Amino acid sequence: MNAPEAKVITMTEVLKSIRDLPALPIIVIELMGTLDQEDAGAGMLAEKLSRDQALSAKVLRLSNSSFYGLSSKVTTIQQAIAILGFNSVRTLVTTASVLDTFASSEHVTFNFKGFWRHSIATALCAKTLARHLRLNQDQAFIIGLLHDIGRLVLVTGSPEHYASVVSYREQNDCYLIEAESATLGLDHTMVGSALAAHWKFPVLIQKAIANHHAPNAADPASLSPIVHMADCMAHALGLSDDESDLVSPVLLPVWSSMSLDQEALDRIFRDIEMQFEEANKILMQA
Amino acid sequence: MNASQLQLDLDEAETGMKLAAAILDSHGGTLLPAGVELTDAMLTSLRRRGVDMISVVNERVSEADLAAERERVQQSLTRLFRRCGERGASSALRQSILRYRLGGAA
Repeated sequence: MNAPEAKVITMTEVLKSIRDLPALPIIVIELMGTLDQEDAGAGMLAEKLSRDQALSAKVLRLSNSSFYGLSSKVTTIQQAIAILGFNSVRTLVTTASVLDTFASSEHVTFNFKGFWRHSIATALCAKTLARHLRLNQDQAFIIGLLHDIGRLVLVTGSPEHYASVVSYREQNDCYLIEAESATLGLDHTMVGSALAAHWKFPVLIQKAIANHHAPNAADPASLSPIVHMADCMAHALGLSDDESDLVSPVLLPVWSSMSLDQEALDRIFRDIEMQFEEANKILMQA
Repeated sequence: MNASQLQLDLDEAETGMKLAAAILDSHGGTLLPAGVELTDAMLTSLRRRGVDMISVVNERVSEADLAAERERVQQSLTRLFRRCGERGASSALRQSILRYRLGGAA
């Protein structure tokens, strides 16, 4: 590999970038605090959400998409909560808000479109795998969506440094995480985990983001094995639509622990592909 | 998707087409199984349920089309997996995607 043009970033600088990010809406912080509770405060959610018209509209568009395949049209947030359940609506609100937080980010060389396509694809893969493995689908979706979020902190907080990362990756055709370590001296997993901690997301989410490249296969409830697998699948299905995309190596203990036969995989791949383009389109609309 | 299947907007689907894959609801329950021939009533019911994409059996696929599709899928997987090596779990994932994309033609 070429010698990196070292532009080391310290965690102190990262934490400053995190503090400089636009704040998440209060409603999301409140919702994330309830993530390990079932149906916590559905009334509160409906009332607060109905005051945010843009967010409500996006949640309703998603509720009515093939993502949920409902038999009748949902027209109010109260209806969405009644039909889809509080947990699903909480996931949708969180997703839409996180996307809005970074919606206006710009960078000379970083591919935002590919980044979000991959994040949304990983979220869908994680949700689908969680359904198959009978684990928490909503948490899996959120972790899938956020697994690489540390990249956006680095890209927006230290754009020149990240330009070196992108150029190192292009020169060496290596994984972006390798280019980050070689150039910056840290990578997106620790930064993402620090952002999740700053946002006061549950520890489960912080840890799963930190460990998605090195999950413990013996602990499926930590959801990091699912997100690792979902990350690999999303790359392998080519959903990011990025010519330079690379599948991360699948860890054997994770693959074996899931015991996925071809029939199960066919169903999982098909479910993901049927839902992905529409979910991506709705989520990426400002 | 694979070469012997077509993914269609529900609006493009016609009666008599055969489903290449089961249509599932959001809980993974089967609404219609693979192999069913679509009727007007089924299309109306799918539309009511908000389903907008389905995959049907492609009756008009030729041997040459299949060969070209195999080649395209192989090339794309080779590019995506170029840093994963030929063995282990990455290779198992690659094989499963190949079988999924090509169906019986893998």
